[in-house]
Amino acid sequence: MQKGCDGNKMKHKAFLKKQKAFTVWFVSYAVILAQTMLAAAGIYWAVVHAVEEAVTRTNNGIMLQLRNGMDDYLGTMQKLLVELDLETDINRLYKRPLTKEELAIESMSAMTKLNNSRYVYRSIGNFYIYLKDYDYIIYTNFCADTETAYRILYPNARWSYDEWMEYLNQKHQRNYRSLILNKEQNRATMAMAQSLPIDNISSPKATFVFQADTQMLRSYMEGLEQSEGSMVYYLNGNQQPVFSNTDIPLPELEPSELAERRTTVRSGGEKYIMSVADSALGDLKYVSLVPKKVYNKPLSTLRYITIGILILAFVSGTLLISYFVKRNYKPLKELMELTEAEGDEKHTNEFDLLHSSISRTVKEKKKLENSLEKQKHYIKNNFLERLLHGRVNSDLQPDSLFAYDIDFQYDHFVVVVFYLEEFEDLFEGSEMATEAQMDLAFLMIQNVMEELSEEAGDMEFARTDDLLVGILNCEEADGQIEQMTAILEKAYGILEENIYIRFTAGVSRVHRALAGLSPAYQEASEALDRKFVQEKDAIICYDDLHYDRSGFDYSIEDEQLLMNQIKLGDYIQAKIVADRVLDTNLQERSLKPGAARLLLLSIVNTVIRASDGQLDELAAIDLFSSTNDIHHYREKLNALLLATCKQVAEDRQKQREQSGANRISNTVKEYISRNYSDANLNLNVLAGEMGITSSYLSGAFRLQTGETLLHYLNKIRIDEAKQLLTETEWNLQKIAKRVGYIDSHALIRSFKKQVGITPGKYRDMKQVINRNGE
Amino acid sequence: MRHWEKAFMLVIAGCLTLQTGCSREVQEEPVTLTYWSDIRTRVSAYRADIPLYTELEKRLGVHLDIIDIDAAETSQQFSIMLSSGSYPDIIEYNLSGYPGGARKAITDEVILPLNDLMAEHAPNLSAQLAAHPAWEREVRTEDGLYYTFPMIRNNPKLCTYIGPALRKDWLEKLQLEVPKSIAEWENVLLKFKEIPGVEYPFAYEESVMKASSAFMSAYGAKGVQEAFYYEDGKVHFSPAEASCRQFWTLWNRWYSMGLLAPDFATSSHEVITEKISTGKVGATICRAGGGIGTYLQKAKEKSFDFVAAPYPTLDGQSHVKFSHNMPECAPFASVSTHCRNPEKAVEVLDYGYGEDGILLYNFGIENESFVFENGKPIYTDMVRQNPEGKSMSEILNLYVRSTHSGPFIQNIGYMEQYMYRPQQQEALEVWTSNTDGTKYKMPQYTLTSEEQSRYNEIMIPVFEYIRTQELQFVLGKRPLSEFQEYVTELYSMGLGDAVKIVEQAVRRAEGM
Repeated sequence: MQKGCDGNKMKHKAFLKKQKAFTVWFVSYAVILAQTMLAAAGIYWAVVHAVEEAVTRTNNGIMLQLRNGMDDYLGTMQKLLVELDLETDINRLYKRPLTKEELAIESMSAMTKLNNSRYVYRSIGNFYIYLKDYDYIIYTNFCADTETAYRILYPNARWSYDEWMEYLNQKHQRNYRSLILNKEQNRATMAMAQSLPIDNISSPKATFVFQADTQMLRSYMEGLEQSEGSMVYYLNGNQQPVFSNTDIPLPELEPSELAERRTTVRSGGEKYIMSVADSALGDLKYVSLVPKKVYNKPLSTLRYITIGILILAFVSGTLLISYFVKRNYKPLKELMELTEAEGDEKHTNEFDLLHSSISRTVKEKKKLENSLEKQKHYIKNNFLERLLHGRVNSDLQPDSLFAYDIDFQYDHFVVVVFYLEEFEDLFEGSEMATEAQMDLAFLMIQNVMEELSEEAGDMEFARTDDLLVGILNCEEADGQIEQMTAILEKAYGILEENIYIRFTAGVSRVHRALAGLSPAYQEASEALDRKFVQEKDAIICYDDLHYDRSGFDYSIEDEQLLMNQIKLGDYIQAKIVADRVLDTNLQERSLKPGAARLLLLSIVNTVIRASDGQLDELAAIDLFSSTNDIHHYREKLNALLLATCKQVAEDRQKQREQSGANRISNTVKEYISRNYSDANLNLNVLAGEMGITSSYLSGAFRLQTGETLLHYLNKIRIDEAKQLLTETEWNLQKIAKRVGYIDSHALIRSFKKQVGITPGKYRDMKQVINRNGE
Repeated sequence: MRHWEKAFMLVIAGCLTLQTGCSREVQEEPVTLTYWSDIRTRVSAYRADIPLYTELEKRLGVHLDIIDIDAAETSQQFSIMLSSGSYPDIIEYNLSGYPGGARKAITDEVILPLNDLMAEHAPNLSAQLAAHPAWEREVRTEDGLYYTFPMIRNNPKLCTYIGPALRKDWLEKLQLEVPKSIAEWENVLLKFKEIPGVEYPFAYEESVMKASSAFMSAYGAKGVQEAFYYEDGKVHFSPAEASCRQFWTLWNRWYSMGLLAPDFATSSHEVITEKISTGKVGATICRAGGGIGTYLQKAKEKSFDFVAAPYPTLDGQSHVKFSHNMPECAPFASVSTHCRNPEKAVEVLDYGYGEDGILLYNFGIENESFVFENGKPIYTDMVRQNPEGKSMSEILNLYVRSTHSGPFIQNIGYMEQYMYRPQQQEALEVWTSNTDGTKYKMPQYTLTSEEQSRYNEIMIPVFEYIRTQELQFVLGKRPLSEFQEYVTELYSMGLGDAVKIVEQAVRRAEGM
């Protein structure tokens, strides 16, 4: 249930996290889409701008063309004007006053001249001259008074007779104005007036009026067909339109706009593209205006298309984005589903989650690899151990050793067993557990050994119980022991000097083949065991142990056993041991006399050592030098044993009696007998229990019992352990815990110290004894 | 792929050729012909398009680029045109003034001989000529080269339609008779002068005088344009004769008396119309149609009435020697050598002699200017009673050509309808009552090219001179006592030689 809830919460969290990357991708794609759409919009804008520019350019071109054409036209008209003014037949009309008759006469020749001019300047338009003083019009078709002329010339025009007269009577210097010829039809043209004579318009006598031919004017606007909808206006000096191609009145424009030649202008809410060309003659301004509506027309299609495309792009883009984001997200999603988020981890997004998950996985893998390595190491170690203990099939091929990462290239082996004597100094002040310290110490020995033994051969190492076993794999057998000894001594020196580690090493003889590893190990162990009777901190070679076939069999264990019993003052037990040794040697073996003597001497030696200097050594030795008979020896030995034990016991009793404070020790002993299995039991606890200081307790106990409290405690524990070893099949760990040691290592150490052999060996031995039926 | 491509190419090519071929046949670009004529200037000068011509263009598939020539200046304009070196396609000109005449014009490669084109492209005229052999002489040179499309008036009533006329209502008011003699005229005019609003009792424009020689003919003088006349087997040049002086004396007198407007040299038909219809002028020389008809239409005064007067004589009885008289068949229009499409030009000019052309030129566009009533073309109300108040002649000028000369056969139906008013009909009667325009008509003659050029060389300045001197004399700038000097001046300008040339040519023609 709990897991399920967590799972949902996880899913929810995962979902939220999912949103993050999903959103990011979605946004990214959307940004790209937006960019494209912006680009499209930008292109549209650019196109609009380009069209505007194109229209402007076209218009400018058209206007220039129009300007040139119109200027040609107006130039011709000007030329005509000047010619007429210069023509005497004409200027006679206004150069001096004329009589009625003169007027009639002159007007005839003037009219002829006008007609000729009209022929020469064909289709330029109509023109006539107003003679101010005579109220007379000289026209190409007739000459008449102004009233008559007005009725003929302007029957439908927009200006009244008076207006026309007013116009004629003004001073004109090439003034242009628009002229509506026909009100109803709104036919308009452009008129130009010039006061005559040209060189004296301040007091004009006549007015030359020119009416442009509408056809001609329109013909110059032909180019405008290309610019549909453009409105063209000819403006005179007062910015008034005098002619146009449209009925639409000129939009209101600021004079500055015209002057500045802005290409786009606004008027009355409309936007126009404007082109302006000034007449080179200075008479007119030609203005073209294209309303935005008009030039936008072709664009409207484009606009609709653009909008359509944008909408389409948006819709399809969104759909595509959704599809692709989902699709691209799928693998990520699948990855997410594979991963498991740690409950309290905070992640910013999926990648973060994946990252932490993967890094965790990598870490775990590394851990696994490490543990695998360790396991391999343990497996290897285990194998080597079994190999050493002879528990491996001797048919084993060297190749299969590869599986254990062991490569014995050569045929010969030397086994060295290391026992740590001293290592605590190195770890002074360290909080490391004893075991760890031992491991490290052994590791150091191993490292040093590996280095030093490089030339000798390959060394493999294994840990067993509290020993380090080194297997030297070497090519030759000769000189290996010596070499090894040298190496070991060197190693010892290095280690002791630099890191205060001391060891005892037992070295086997050279053995051949894998099968020889087990016996080698036995030898090395035996050699090591010798430390109990020989020096510690030494390199003991099996070779040196002088185990002669003809020699006696007095093992170290037996020796240690005997010593302990004597120390305890236990004559009975001591005698059993001694008897056994003697019996073994004397009955089962045929000893040389010298050997027997040696044996006895060894035993006596043991007794002497066990008695801790209480015995008269000389007397003891002397005992054996004076008799030759082995049986006598035995009796003498027994007597010695008895005397020694008695003495020891007496001493102890004396001590106990003298102190008189057995109560403490009894209480302690009683407490211990009840609580020995408590691993926490120690001097301080006891002292606390009894309400005395630990130093007083320690001293008192020692005085009363002749041994340390710890020693006594251990003794009790070991005794119990012995029981358990013999009677049960429990493993050492269990036994250790049962008897009050923290772990098997503590038990083994203590056991060996006290008994002389390891609990394992003890058990084995006991089994053997049992089997043998003793 | 290859085959497909080939086929595709072929199809495209085929389409293109078809298109161009078709377009050439079906969609013929209208041929543009330049048309040298005064016809448009006779109409209101401000009318851009004349329906008659639009219709003509449509029917004939042409575009006529009309070059407007002022009627008063035809000869000068012709000279100017010649000197420009670029000849319009169709020229409405009778070539009378061309040195060497029409024959020279052909030799000079100004106009085209039309013989090769007549049969195929001028079937109408050919048919007419075949029916009226008398017209042959007018339309071809002595050596048989056809060169012109004539104006044909085959009805006497079509030939005299200009004459004097005056305010009838004023006459009635003043209780005066229609004047017949010069003296009567003077009296009438004096009386007219007193009428309020009158500027000058009598005014006219040059062309009608030239055409009719009214008043001049009272003295036996002839209008400047047709200044030569033939009497008693002799060629006369009127402006150099005493009769001319007499006329000018009268004119001067009337001017000094304020009876005659001085601007007859610069007036135009419109000016006179304006003046008469507004009562500023009471008497003039005018056309029955465009004159009397227009005045009657345009006049604002309710009482306005116009009446034709017979050509005045000195005694009021006799016939006048000269009057307005249009020839039955007169050369009118030719095709120039610069015409790039003479076939089309001939077709255009030939149109007026066929049934459709006669109808168009005389009556205009069916359902616009005329309708058929009982098979007869009758002018519509738009023409006769124009809603906008335009005169009949104004409207007719837009739709027909019969108001003036043209390359067509004038139909009496036009005249009958045009001159529908009694005053007009009466005018035609009156003006033919005492005239015999053909009597002293110059016989047909042709000048050789040298003769013509010499003639022109002399006579063009002479005519111009006469014109200016007329004004001088009439207006009193030059005393009439100097008339003889003026004659001498004329002779010094070579008039004698010119006359001789004409005589020679006449002799030649008679001899033929």
